[in-house]
Amino acid sequence: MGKQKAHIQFVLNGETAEVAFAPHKTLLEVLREDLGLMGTKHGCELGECGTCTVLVNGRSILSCLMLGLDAEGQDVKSIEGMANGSQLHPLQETFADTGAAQCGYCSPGFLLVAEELLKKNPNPNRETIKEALSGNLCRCTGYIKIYEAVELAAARMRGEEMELPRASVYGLE
Amino acid sequence: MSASPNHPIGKSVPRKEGRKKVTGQALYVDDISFAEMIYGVTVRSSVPRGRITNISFAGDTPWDEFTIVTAKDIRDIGGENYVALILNDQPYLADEVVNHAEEAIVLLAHPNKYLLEEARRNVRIEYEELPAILTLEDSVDKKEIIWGEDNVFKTFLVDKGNVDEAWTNADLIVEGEYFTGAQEQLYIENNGVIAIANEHDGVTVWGSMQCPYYVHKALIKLFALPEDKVRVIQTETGGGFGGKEEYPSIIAGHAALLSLKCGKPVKIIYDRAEDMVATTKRHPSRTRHKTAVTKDGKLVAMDIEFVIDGGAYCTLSPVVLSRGTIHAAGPYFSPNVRIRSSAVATNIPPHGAFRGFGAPQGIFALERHLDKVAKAVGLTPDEFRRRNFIQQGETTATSQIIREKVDMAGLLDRAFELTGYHEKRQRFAKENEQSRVKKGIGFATFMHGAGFTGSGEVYLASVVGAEATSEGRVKILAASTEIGQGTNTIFAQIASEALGVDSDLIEVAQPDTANVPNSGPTVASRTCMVVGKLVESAVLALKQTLVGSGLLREDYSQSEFQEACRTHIEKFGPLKTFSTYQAPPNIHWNDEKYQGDAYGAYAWAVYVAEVSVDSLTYEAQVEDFVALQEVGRVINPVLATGQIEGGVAQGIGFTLFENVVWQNGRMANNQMTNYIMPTPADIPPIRVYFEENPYAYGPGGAKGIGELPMDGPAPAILNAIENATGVSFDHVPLMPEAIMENLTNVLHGITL
Amino acid sequence: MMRLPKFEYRVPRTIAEAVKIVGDVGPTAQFVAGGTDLYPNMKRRQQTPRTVISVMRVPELNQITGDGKSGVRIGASVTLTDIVEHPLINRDYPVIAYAARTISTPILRNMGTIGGNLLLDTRCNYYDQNYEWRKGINFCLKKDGDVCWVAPGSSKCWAVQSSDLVPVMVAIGAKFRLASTLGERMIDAAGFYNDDGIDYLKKRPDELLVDIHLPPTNGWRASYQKLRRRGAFDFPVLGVAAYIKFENGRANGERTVRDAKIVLGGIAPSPIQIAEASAALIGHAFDDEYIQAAAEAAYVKARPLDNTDFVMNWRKQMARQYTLRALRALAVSD
Repeated sequence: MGKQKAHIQFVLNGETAEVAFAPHKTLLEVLREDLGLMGTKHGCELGECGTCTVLVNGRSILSCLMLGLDAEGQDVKSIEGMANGSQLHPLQETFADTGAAQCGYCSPGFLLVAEELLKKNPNPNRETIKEALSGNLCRCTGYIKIYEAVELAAARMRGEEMELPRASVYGLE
Repeated sequence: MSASPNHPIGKSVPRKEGRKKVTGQALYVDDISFAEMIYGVTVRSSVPRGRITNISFAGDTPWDEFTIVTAKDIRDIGGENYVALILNDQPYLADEVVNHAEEAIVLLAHPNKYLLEEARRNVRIEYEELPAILTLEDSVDKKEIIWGEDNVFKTFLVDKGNVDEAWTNADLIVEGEYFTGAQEQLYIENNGVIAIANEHDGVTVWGSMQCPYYVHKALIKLFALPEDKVRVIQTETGGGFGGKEEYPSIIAGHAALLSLKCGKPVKIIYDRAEDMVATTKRHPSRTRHKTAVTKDGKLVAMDIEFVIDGGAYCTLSPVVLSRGTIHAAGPYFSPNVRIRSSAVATNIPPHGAFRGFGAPQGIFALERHLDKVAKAVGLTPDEFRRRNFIQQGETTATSQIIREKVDMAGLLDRAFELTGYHEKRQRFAKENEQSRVKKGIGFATFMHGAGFTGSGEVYLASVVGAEATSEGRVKILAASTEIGQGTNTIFAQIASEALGVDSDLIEVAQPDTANVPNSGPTVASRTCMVVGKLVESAVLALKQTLVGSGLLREDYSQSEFQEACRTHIEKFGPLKTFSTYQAPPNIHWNDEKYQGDAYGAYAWAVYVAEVSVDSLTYEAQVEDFVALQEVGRVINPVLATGQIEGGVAQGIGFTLFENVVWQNGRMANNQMTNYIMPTPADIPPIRVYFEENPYAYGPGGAKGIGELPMDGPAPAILNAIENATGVSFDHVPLMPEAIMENLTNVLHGITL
Repeated sequence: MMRLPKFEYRVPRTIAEAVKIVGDVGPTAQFVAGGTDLYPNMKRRQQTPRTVISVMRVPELNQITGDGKSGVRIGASVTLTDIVEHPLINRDYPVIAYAARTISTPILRNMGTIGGNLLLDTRCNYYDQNYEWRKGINFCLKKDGDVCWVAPGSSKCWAVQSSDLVPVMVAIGAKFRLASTLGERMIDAAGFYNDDGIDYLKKRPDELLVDIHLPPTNGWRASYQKLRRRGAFDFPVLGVAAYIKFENGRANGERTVRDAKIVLGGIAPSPIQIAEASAALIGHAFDDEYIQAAAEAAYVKARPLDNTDFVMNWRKQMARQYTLRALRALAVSD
């Protein structure tokens, strides 16, 4: 049984993918070890931190608790599929530039959950953002800059102007 | 100086490696592989103290396929079985005895992760158990001697004036006792290292770490190798907070021992449970205060006894103790101060570096205690502090004369204005009579020294290099690591400002001991202030070289600068300049007496917390938090604000959430479901403000910032809880259970 | 490195196929839906089924049918997110949507199912640990050991029922449909749970939970209050479900309580119904005097053990406060 490999086909970041792997592997392990996509990180591997989040059919799921086998025929999106070629997703831009990513390790998970949120609700208020992101842990930022980055990206996606978060001018001007 | 309009200091230049991090391109250690690489795991002790009587390899594991390393292998290679740091008492692998649960005993490696994990379960270790010390109190009481002759790793005595004689001059003497618990750093990326070791090339390791040269020093001893045969490279690091200061030396040694034995690259990545149960945490502490004051509220004497629990081995405890000791008396002037401190041994996994490094423990005790003293004298907490704030020209506990401008009272005014403190104090007092939810507001005033304590920076003698490239770019060579706090970005800003060229033109080299000089560890809020200053002087030296060689005039444009670099390299070969730390003038420190200039500069801060306490469920919540600080010049507002917000969030965790549950010397809640750090649903608004007072010896005027925000939240929140409930609490973490115990009597009779 | 143990994975498409597989394989097989409970347990080697049978691709288990008038059936594999967002559940059974929304996190609710939550393994500080940690204490009664560390003299396991939906289902009188190769049976939620941390379900291992039948909404109302430390992630360490139904008409302008139930979760191996609380309420006006009496009964009966986060005395105290909250929520929503 140990040597037997499972073989699946699915859509990964918009393209058809095929992969063979040991059948008891999680999607996280398949993405990282069998497909070489290292953007999906792991923080606990037990569903307690949100770090390994990917989107399956547009819904955020924890890749550490989903079998690779269950990806068969599904549409999976990892952080590598978030940008459109070299064009970053607005969330990626605001996360990078306004302090939402510090060590960056939790960022892929937060970004994909935020993308799911903005699809459902293009104009979320702070409370909605908090609740939507409540399954992701970040130890660096205290979350404040993450909320601000989501708000700024949402505004840009709606085609609205928004002032940069006050952080850039606090106490200084 | 320069014709270029580039003045990036003070601007929120985007994080240098930000794009890589948001696209999944940043490579952390577990994202890296080498051909033939296999995996390693650690087998650990299950008892807190004992003699190892037998190790057996059982089960259906194909043991002949496994690389197995024990302490004997270290003897066989002629290495030293200790982690070189301060006292060198911690073995890489326990040999005969174990001194704490989760101590490493056996290492295993195998290409198959699944088999490896099964194999770890099949290693049986038997012990003859020895009596263990599991609490700070039992260690102090010497219930059992488990380390040295008296369980004491280190003591300090700070003695200013004459405390014993001062008691008689006091109108009032107030005593108090305060406790803080352990805290897990909980970086989201667990510890991990990859090692390649062989007899010919020596040892190379890649890993998640803060201090490549610490690892370097430790591996030289472990493998008995010359310096140039050990190479340490930092990979992208997913948070550290002190948790990756000393511990990576152990994992690196383990991976390298396995690699040397099997001849293949070996990767060790801890899983969360192992990382939490086995690696370092913040030192638990006990602080006793005895304070003499006059009836008009002037401090006469402060007698402080500060004890921290170091765990089973010394590791960094003396240094943590040092910072804690010096910060224990705060930003106040008292003519007589005595601080007696000690770090003691227990049979729990060694405690280690964690943001603040002893200071949050002592500051918690002091800022709680001063509210108590104020009450005893009949003054408000703020009025009492105003009468005692240290002024320019006055001396700290270590008799350091504060030469820079300091205005704690001004900071307090501004913080109160920002929070409506006085208005809220009054309003809450009225509203609380009628309401189930009690509101309160409280604050803490404190200072935090940047850089190594005392002569630490002089001993370190850090070096930073700057190298011009033939494309006319400048590469910063430093071992200081980017761990999320923004090292790369601020180094580029400092260099860019000094040279007057775009910050895009500045590259920051990956910390690699083969390529960068030792700029010291990435700790102690020293990276910006101390190392940043070296970055500034190294690039200025580079510019001076170009000017001196006649290739660049003083008033140059960016393209002229680039051209000069190119020409210089063509004509004279590689262009590198180095800058070595030199203490600012008039810094004197007496290591024996612990008197003198403890730090080159201090950051000053006032943090204000607003809380609510539910009188029926006893849950305390932070509703609003204002952090106001003076940190010299702010180099990058977004990054600096991010440091403060993140630190305050960790501080809120330390205060109200993060309770390490010990069971027979082992962490019992070593998972993210039951060791609970705040989630997005649990953090209040955190409002961050800076006052700027440029520091003459910091780059562009900057001081240190990273640890500061850890100091204020715990006392500010507990002071606010006292304001809300009338009950004074003396320990953190403060869980609802403890609030209930103390509050039931006070609040009974209130029904709603 | 938390690897799943090796197992055979089966993905049946019909209920008949699913129950046949489990019948054929026997007790070493286990059903899985969202995997958010089973897979962490497998990674920690608390559970090591040889065969895992996914019920996520059985269409019949993925439906919500009916309405408040006739009662609603929720397939066991419907995700918690779908329940939280379902208009009909929100309209007719807001207590279910509310309780589901308190479970864990949005991402875990995208994966976890109602069936999985109702069958959630009991939890305990000594049991929900990785293998190495449990080995360090010579394991525990629930798995691989012979002592219950919560109550070392006890012959019984005291792991805690930790579902948010269970107390609600018991309180409102939901029924569960089980299927096996021997046929189907319906069982009351109230009779479905054993007060034993190991043998905590009346469900036989060969039975599949097919769907949950919610009773018609003929005048009853219910609420749920959850105690946890954080605003997300945490399992309940106390959950209080309250249910009341009034007599038709009013006496002296007041409505009289005809039926009432208080069910506590998160404190014992099974949900605990507080008969004394019902007795305190039934036949009386729904006013604060009787509500206080019911809360007092809940407090007396709540005997949490020291096997979750939180000190047990505090949890016991909270049983009174949370019962008050749950009941008062029903009073105000008139």
